[in-house]
Amino acid sequence: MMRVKIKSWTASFRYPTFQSGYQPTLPVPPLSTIQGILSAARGEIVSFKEIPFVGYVFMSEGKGIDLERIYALGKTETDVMRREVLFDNTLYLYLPDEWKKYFKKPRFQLLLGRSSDIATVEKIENVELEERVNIPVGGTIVPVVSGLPGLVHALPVEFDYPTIPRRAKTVKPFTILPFPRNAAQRRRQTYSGKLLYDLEIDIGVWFYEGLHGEV
Amino acid sequence: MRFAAGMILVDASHSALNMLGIDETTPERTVTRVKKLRKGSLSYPYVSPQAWRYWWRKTLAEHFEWNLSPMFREEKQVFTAANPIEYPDDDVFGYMRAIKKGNVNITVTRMSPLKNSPLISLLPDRSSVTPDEGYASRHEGDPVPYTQEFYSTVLKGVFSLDLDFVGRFTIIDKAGFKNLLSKDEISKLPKSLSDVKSEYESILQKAREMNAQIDDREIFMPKEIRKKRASEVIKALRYIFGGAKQTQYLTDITPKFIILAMFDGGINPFVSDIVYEDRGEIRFDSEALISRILEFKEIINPRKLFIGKDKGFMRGWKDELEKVKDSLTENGVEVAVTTVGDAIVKFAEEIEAYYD
Repeated sequence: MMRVKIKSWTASFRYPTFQSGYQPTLPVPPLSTIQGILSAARGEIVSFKEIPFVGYVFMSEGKGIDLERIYALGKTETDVMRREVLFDNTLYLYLPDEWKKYFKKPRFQLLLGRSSDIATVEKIENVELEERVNIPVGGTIVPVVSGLPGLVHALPVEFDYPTIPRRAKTVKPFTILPFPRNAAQRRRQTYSGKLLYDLEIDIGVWFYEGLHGEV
Repeated sequence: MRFAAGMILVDASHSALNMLGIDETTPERTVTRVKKLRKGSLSYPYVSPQAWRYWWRKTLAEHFEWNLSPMFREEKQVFTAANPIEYPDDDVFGYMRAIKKGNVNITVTRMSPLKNSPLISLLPDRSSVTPDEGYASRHEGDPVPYTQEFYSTVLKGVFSLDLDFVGRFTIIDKAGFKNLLSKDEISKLPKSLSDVKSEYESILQKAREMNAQIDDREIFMPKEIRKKRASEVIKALRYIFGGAKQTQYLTDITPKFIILAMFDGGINPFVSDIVYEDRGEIRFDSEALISRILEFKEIINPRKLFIGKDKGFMRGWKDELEKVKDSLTENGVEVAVTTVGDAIVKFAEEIEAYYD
C-alpha cells in the first residue's frame, strides 16, 4: 500500500452539532473530510464503496481562535462568530497503490477543511505495515464497537453532492481519538485486537474496508 | 488543469493588522489583543484568511477598476449578485446565494478559484508582540488607561489560483459547481419568481453580448476576459493595501518577498518551512525550496520559478537565492531572481500565455 503525507498550516473540521455562535473544530477529520480530499485529488466524487481500504492518521501542533464576520439568517446586520482552527498539521493517508497518480497531480486544490486550509503533498511512498496486537491508535476516528474510550460523536461518513447545499448521506457514531501525546494517553488508547502498525509514526492505524454503509 | 501558486512574506515591522478584540479574562478589561495561534507554549500572531481576501478584493477595485459585485438584502439574507459574468470578483472569489421560494430551490454556489491561507507570523509572540500601554487623555479630566497589543514580525502566506476555473462557469448539480441556473431551469421558473427569471435572462443575455461560449453545462468567457481577470489577481499583490490600525502603524503590506510558479496539480509546495525562525532570526532554507521544487518537477509547468525580493529586505539571503538559481537551473528549471514587482509582472505574463 502507499502512504501520502499531507501538510497544512491551518485545518478545520466542522463539529456537526454546533450550528451558530461558537464553532469549534473536531481534533481529527471525520471520514467525510477524507472523502472530500480523495475527491479533490481524483477530480470527481469518490465513494468509499469503490475503495478497498483506507486508513488515516492526523496530527496537529496547535490551535487558535479566529473571528469571522457572518451574515446570519433572520438578521440584516452582521454578526461576529468565533471559529477554532488547528495549526501546523500533518495528515497521513493509507491507500491502495493506484491512488499514487491522483496525489502526484491532484485535479483540484487540496484542502484540510475550508478554502483557507491550503495543503500540500509532502511525500508519497510505499509502506509495509505489520500486524500487531495491543498497540495504541489515534489521530483518527474508530467505530464505537472497538471499545476504545473517547469522545463519541455522530459523524458524517459520506456526503451526497447533487443536493445543494450538499447533504450527509451516511452518518454513524464514532469514537474520536486524538493523536496520543504521552504515555498515559497511549495506554488509554491501546487496542487489544489486531491492528496494522506504522513503525515510523509509532502508531496503530485503523483501516476501513469496503466502508459503504458498513461502519 | 493549471494552478498559479505562490508564497509571500509581509514585513510587518510595527503592526496590528487583525485584532481579536478586548480580552475578557483580564480584570480591567482594557486590553485589546491581536489574533494568535497557539503551538505548545508559544503563540504566533496571524491575520485571518478572509481579511487578506478582503484587502485583495478592494485592491482589485481600486487599482484595476474591478466593478465589484453589489450586496443585496433579500428576505433577511445578504449576498452578492452571484453574477460572475458581469462581476469579476464573483468569478474569482466565489459566492453562495441561497434562494428557496415555496418548493423551488434555486440556490447557486461557486467555489472560489482563488484560495489563500492566513498570514502567519514567523516569530512567536514572545519575540514579536508588545502590549502598548496608552492613555486616552485631553488636558481636562482623568486620563483613561488602555492597553493594545501590536507586533513586529514577518508574516508568511500562501495562495493558489485555479486558472481553469477563472471565467468558466459550470452548471452542474453539485455543491460549489452550480454557478448559475441552466436555460431549462430558467424557463421553468414559476410566475412567483418572475424577478429571478428576468434576472437570469439578463445574465445570459449579457454573456451572449460579451461573446461567451455557452452550452448546457458550462459557460466560458472569451479568453481575453479570462486572461485579464486571472493576471490582474496576481498583479494586485503589488499594490495590495489594507489592515487594521493603519492610522497608527502605517504598515506596508505589499510582499517584500514572493515565490511564484505554475503547477499542473492542486498542491502548493510552498506550504512548508522554506522560511523559518531560528533563535529570533528569520532564515531562508535554500535546500528546502530546491527539494520541494524538484519533487514537483513533473508538474511544474512551465518549468520556471519566479522569486522576487525587495532589496532592503533580508539582505543576507542573496547567496542562498543564488544557490536556488544554480541548483534548479542545473536540473532544468529556469529561475528568475529579481525584484518583487518584476517577478509579479513576469509571472502575470506566463498566466496570460496559458490562455492563448
